[in-house]
Amino acid sequence: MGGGQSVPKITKQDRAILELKLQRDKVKQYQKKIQTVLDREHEIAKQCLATGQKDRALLALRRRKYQESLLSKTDGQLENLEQLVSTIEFSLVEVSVLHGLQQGNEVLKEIHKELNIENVERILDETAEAREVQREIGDMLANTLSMEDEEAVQAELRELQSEALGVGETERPITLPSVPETTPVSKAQEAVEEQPERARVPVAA
Amino acid sequence: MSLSPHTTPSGFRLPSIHAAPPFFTQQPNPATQAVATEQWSRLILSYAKHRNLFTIKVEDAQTTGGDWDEILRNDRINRKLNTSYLAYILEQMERSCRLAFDPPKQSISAVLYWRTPEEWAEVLHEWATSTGQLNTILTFYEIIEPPVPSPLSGVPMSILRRAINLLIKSNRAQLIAVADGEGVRFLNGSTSK
Amino acid sequence: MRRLGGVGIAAFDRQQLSQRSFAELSSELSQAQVDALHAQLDQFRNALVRFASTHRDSIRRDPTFRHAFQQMCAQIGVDPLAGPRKGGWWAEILNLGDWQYELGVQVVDVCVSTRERNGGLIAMDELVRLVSKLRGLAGGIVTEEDVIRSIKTLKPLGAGYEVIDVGGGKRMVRSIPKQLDEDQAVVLAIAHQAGGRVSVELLQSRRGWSLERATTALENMLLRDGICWLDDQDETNGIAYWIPSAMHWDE
Repeated sequence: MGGGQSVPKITKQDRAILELKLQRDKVKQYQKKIQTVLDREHEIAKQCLATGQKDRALLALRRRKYQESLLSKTDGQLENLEQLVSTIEFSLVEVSVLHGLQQGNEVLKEIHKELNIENVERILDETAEAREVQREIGDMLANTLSMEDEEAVQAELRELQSEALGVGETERPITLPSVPETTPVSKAQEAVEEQPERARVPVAA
Repeated sequence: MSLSPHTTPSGFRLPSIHAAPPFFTQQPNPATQAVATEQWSRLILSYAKHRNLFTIKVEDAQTTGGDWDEILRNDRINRKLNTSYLAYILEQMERSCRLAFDPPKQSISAVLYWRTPEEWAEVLHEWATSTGQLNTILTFYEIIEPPVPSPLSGVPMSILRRAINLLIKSNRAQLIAVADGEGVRFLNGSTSK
Repeated sequence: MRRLGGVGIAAFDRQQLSQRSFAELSSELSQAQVDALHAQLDQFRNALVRFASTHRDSIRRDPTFRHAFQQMCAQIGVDPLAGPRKGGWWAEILNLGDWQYELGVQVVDVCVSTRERNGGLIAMDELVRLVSKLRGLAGGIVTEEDVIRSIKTLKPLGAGYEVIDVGGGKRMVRSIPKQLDEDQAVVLAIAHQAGGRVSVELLQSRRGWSLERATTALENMLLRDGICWLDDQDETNGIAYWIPSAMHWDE
């Protein structure tokens, strides 16, 4: 076999399992054989009965009975073998699970080494301190402002607000039409004059 | 008369040539016979696949009620293949590697290759993988006579051996021998997947 | 277009040879004639090209239009479907040569793929049906005439395809270069009537042939030509011969 490195080694357990399974197969094959004999004897018994050979039918049935007892015996053997095979296979699974657990345990231990309680406490303490400093700075900034400063800040805020809201409001009055000075008649005339002009356009088109 | 495909009771669709009376006679013209041989070979293999049949015997041509009745005879046109013609077809199929005489050194009983040994190797490995039997030691017997029917139920030992040997070559199986017999262990294999 | 010069220049060459022996003056004259001819030919060709390329799709798709076009071309002595060997520019410009060759290839395809069961003899309607099936709907309608033309274009290739008339308006295409004798043609005709089956006895009773004559004809078709298949389980005569190309196949 070339490239043997990727093929697992055949262990003693492997051979043991194979031997067991081969035994099991043999029993199964034997059972199959008995089953056919059973069927045949049954057939013979039926035929003999049909032709009136009661004795021979009885003989066939006796033979059949004997084979049946063999069959049930082998059933027990087969059960034993299969149980053994499953037990071994299950144990192998257990072994590999155990192996997996062991490895997991090792890894966990390594991780715990990093994660000792002192380290955690120290880090937590350090974070709490940092938070305290932050709060103090905020307080200090809020308290140092004088009344004037506060007012100036408030004024700036108002200005910003009015800028944001009031731009349109202050300009609109300017664009409003001024008080009418001419007589309304001329306006009407203008409108009359304009209308035919507008009307003409669609006609021309 | 009209020659049309026919579906057998087992659900196999016979090609229309199966309804042609001369199809059941060995042809004296070699070119014609080559065509007929090819048609018969394909028919036998596809029917074997349909019915999951692995062996064919020359005597199947003369037994009634056998597995091969549906194709070796056509009662609708009252024709059947005779044994010498079937023997000839089987020999030709052996030449084109579509069957192997089993046991060897005779020519009346053969194992059909409706899957090539390479294809069987893939089926086998796929079965072992999908049923969670990789790395488990299996006997040949439990592969071909599984308690639950599988694609490998009934596969002849000769085919199984060839398939296993192919898997061994690609490191996807390992043969284990003890005094009582042999077993095999399927491995994940180092294929790109 | 370059290749077009072939015809003209060849003629020109011939003419020039004879002219040279007379006088140079007359050669000038003939030059003018040739030029005029060239111009005419160009004009004609352009017109034809324009016509053909405008109606290319119709030519390829519509069998009656194609037929009319081919007749028109035949009348003016041009074969639009002649392959690249002859009227190369036709093939290039119209792709019609391609069309015909494509059909030819499909005809060969069908003949070869059915040869195994018919011994290289196929009924024309069956051939047309199978070719149409191969081309699919997009390929347009193909007529018997198209197939016959395609078979003609295959001739230079030495493929030996031949259209045979078996009587009763039935035509068959033979794709193996073997000669069918008269008796075999008769056998074919009878097989067509009888769904493909013929026998020595049938030929004796229908045609009054002698046993020898019937046997020879059938054995020749069977053994020599592979046109028919043997059936040794025949109910009435024990031995019968079947001609696959005369049998009706439902796929």
